[in-house]
Amino acid sequence: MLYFDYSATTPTNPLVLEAFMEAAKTDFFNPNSAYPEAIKIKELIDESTEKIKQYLHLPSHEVIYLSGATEANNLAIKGVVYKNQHLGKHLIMSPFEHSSVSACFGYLQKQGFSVDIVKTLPNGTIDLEDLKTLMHNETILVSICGVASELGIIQPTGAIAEIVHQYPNCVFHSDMTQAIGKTPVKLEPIDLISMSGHKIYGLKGIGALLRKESVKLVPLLHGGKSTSKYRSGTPSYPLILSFEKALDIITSSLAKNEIYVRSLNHYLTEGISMMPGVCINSPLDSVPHIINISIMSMPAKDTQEYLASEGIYVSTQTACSSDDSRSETVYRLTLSETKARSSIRISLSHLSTKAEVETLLNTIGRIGL
Amino acid sequence: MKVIMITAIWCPSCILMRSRYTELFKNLNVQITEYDFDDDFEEIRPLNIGAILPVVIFINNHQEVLRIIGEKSKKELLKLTEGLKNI
Repeated sequence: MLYFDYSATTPTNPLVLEAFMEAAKTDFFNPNSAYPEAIKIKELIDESTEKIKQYLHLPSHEVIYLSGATEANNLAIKGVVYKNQHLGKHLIMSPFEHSSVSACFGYLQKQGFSVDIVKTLPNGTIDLEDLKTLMHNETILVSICGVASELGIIQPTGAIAEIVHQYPNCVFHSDMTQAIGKTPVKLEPIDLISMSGHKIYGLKGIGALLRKESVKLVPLLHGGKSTSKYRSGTPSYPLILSFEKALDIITSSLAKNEIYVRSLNHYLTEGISMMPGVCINSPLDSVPHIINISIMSMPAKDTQEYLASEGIYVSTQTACSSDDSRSETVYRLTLSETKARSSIRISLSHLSTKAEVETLLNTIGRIGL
Repeated sequence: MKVIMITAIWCPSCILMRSRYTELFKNLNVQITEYDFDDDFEEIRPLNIGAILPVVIFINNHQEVLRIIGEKSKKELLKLTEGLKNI
C-alpha cells in the first residue's frame, strides 16, 4: 500500500500509542473525584495542558478537550454565536471551509443569522479588501481556516485577525486542523482555534478548541464543570496525554519535516508538470503536504479507483456535489469544469519516501497517456 | 407558482444563494418547499437533479417552467426569472 492521504488521517506515532496505553492501564481514575489517585490525574492533566499551551505558544488560551475538530468547530461557531447573538446576527466564512464549519453556518443561517462568504483572490487567499467591506458593527463571528484542506492554500490569519479585531463585538475563529504540524503558524492573535489529534499522528477521538480568555461561549453539552465549563463529561487522561505527546513530537520536528516534505513536493510537482493532460491546482505557495492535481482525461472518482486498484490511496473532495461530480473548491479556484471534475488530492508526510512518490508519478503517467 | 429548493446544510453555494433567493422571492408570488439533499431522498429522486447544488425548480400548473442550478449572481437571477413575473 502506498498511502498519500495523510491530510485525511495519519497513522499513530508509536511513542504516542505507547504513552496512551501505559496511561490507560494505570491512570484510569476520574479526575473529577476527590481521593488522592484522582487528584493526581487532575494534576497530570493540568501538566499536559500547560505543555500544550507551551508547544503552541498560547499562554493565555484555555485548552478545551473535545472529541476532535468537528466538535471543536461546532462548539466555537455555535457557542460564540449563541452567546453573542444579542450583539449582532451577521457571520462571515470563507468558501474553503471544512463541512463541519460550513454546516454550522448553514444551520445558523436557517435559524435567521445572516451569512456572507468572503471573496478570494486568484491564488485562493482571502480578499482582505472584501473582508473589510463585509465587516460591520453587527458582525459577531468570522471563521476562516488556516490551511484549506483540499488545496493546501495558506490563509493570512494574522492580517485577518487585525481586520476582525477592529470590531470589538466580533470573534475570529480559525480551523487550524490542516495547519498545525505542517507549517509555522502564529496562533496568538486568533480567538478560537480548532485542532485534531489524528491529523498530527495522534489518536482519533481527541482534539481541542483553544479559547482566548476574553471569548465567552454557550456550551453544546450541559452537565457541569469538568476540565472546562464549556465541555462536560469525564476527561480521558490517556487521550489527553496522547494528544500532548503527538503535539510535542510534531511541533518539535516541524522545521525538519517541512524541509523534507517540500523536497518530496518538488520532486512530485516537477514530474507532474512534465505530463501532458495533467495539471496542478494547488497554488505555488500552498503547504507542501497537499498537492491537488487534475488528470483531465478521467473523472476524479475513476482516477481514485484506478489508483486504489494499484495499491495507491489518494482522496477526492467533492463539496456541494455527489460522488461523480466536480469539486466546487477546485472550480472556484480554477473556473475550469474539466479540472474540477477530475481533481484528486495527494497528501504527503515526513513518512512518505521518494520511491513511493516515484511509483505514484509512474502510475499517474500511465493514466495521463 | 410553486418553488422547490434542494439544498444541503454544508454547501457554501447554498449558503451564498439563500439570501439571493430570499430577496428574489419577495418580488414573486411563490410557495416554497425546501428539500435536504442528504435527507429527503424520496422527494428528490423523481426530480432528477444531478449533482450541483443548490437546485431551484419553478413549477406552474404542475409544469416545470424553470430550473436554476448552482451559483448565480443577483443580475443573472433577475434575468433568468424575468419571464416569471407575469405568472
